[in-house]
Amino acid sequence: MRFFSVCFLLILLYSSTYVSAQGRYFTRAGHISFYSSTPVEDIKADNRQVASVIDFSSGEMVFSVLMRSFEFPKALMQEHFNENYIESDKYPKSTFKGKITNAQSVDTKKDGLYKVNVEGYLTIHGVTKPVKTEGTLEVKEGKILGKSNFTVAVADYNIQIPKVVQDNIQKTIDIKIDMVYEPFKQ
Amino acid sequence: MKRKTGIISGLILIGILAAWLVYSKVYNKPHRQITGEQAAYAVKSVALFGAYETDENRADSLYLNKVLQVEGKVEKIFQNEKGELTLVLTGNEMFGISCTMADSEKEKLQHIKPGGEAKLKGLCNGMLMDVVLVKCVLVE
Repeated sequence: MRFFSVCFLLILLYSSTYVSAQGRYFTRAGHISFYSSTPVEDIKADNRQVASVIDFSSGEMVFSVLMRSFEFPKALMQEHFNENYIESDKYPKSTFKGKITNAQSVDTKKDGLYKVNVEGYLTIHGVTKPVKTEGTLEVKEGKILGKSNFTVAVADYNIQIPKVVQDNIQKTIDIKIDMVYEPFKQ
Repeated sequence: MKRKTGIISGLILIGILAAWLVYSKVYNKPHRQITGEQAAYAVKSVALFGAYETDENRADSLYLNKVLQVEGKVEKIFQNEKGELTLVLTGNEMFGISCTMADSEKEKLQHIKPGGEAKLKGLCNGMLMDVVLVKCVLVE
């Protein structure tokens, strides 16, 4: 597991390869939420301790998420999520490692809203799948606000939902990403 | 006849009581509160960060999902969009122990400033760049 955090986050942050003037941006307190709505019940969970790094010189983008940091309104839901579905003790983290394919179009020195395309690999519950999504990066007063919405199919990541509650949980979960990146100064 | 009605009413009452107990104690059981819990370990923030940096798997096996009491220098205080306050205690020169505080601590946190010391206990969720503690409360 250490391999993930070092390789994905810190190596990208500390790597001493070519650093452009645009540089690297990071957050230790990004917000990812997921939402599932069925006639039986609505489920929403929020995680506000997401770590992420963007390197604008290469377009590389990394997210790392602790599964136990997802907060549910109901303690019982949170317990089922950690113990039964996601198995947080066995798979404590989810990661995304990928690229902003049009990173060159973002001028981090100029305030403005940029549409970005992201491609990469998402690992949840020990299963890695390719993902492709769109999002926005807004440069604002020296910070960068990143937003994106995409869906994840529960079955793709080998997450077993017991038959008895299958009708309570959507087959595809809506994921919302809301990050505030700061420049990384070594 | 009267006795039969009495027994049936009694059973119905027991049924209602059992359903209410299941609903309140299981389905609607409260979130874990740290205030009343004994800390499994008391550590200095630098030592906790060092343990995770050296061997994350071993540190997880000791600390994950446990209540830890942590003491260290406050590097930074920030507030998220939900209004929760987070103290970052010293780890290495760049990252540390990120402690998201329980809402109950807002008043007491007014006395804590970057550069000062803090002693708190919270639930350990693991490590990303920082070691992440949640539901934290200050310890006198």
